[in-house]
Amino acid sequence: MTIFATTLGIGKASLRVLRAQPRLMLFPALAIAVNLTLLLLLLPGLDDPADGLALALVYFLGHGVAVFFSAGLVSEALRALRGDSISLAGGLGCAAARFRAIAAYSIIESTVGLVLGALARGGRPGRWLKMLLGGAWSLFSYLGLPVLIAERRGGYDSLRRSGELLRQTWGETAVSELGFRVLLVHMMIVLLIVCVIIARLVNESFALVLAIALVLAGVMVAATLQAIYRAALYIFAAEGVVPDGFDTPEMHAVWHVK
Amino acid sequence: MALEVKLDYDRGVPIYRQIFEAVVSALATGALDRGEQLPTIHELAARLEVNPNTVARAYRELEQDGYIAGKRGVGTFPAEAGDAPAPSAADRDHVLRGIFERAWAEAARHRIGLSELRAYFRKAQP
Repeated sequence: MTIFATTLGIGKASLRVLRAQPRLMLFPALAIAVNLTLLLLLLPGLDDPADGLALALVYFLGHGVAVFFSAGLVSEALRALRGDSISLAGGLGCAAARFRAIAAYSIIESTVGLVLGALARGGRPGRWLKMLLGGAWSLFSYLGLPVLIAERRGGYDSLRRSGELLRQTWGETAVSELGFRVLLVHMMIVLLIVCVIIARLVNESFALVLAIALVLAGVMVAATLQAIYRAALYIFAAEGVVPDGFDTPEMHAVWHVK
Repeated sequence: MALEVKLDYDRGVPIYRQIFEAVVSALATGALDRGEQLPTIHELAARLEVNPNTVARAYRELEQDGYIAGKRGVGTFPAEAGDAPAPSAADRDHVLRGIFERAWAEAARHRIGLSELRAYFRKAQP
């Protein structure tokens, strides 16, 4: 199966679930809104905007917010894949109940992100190392949040278990991660083309506003699709079955369903 | 007695297979009576907080292997005594573990130690 067919299969299956439960998009929308509000409130208050410690704190807080809403999203995506009804309150309640685990998970992820960022500043070898380790880390932690929610584990334990599940499904995870990246690149290219056409037809400032709105919408759709996909891959890896919506010949080929 | 399923995510065994083993073990140890109805797919999925397809696959394989039988419009029940197969070699270890765990728990409740239990098993051997 080509990467294009894989990407199409993943996108179509995740989109099917999203179309049935569009309210899932509220979680990334809220994450963006809360993070923008935090930035507007915190950044002007910094004495020195270049203060590394203060910026690191803002980074940790922002990442914590993103992980919190992602956890709520994954919890509701798991429910949607079970055929249960979903709600914003239900997802936020679930994330709030797992607050300590989410905080630990977020701190580990943010720290890894900082280390990778520091590596990238070390010239070309550093950038290569960052790319290599960053790729390995994104595969290792791919199922961390579904594990944290479904198995009620702590932050560190969820990442460890995600790595364990990766050993069973590394091929499926690697192909999926690559497929998702290809999907995101395609989405962004389409958005860019739409904005360029509008800039030519209408005016540039309108195109800029539209571009920002489209990029935000694109980020929300992509985050939701990826959360749905991770929840589905978790069910396949841990429970041994293909959830409804993903039970298609394309997904059977991607996941090597026996 | 209600079907008891304890999921162990660290065993490295898929969840549908753990449900399969739990039913086989419950049948072998008598924890699940022959005439007793099994929970529906959605009941068990909700109780275990797993995907309904996971329970459906476990039930499907249990039915294929002759452990349980679905009665249309009524529910799913253990297969008739004569029809139920002996556990396969792969399931024997799990069934034995279930038997031992129940015996061990009962013995511990009466403050009977492992050595005493072992000695009794040896003595009571038919």
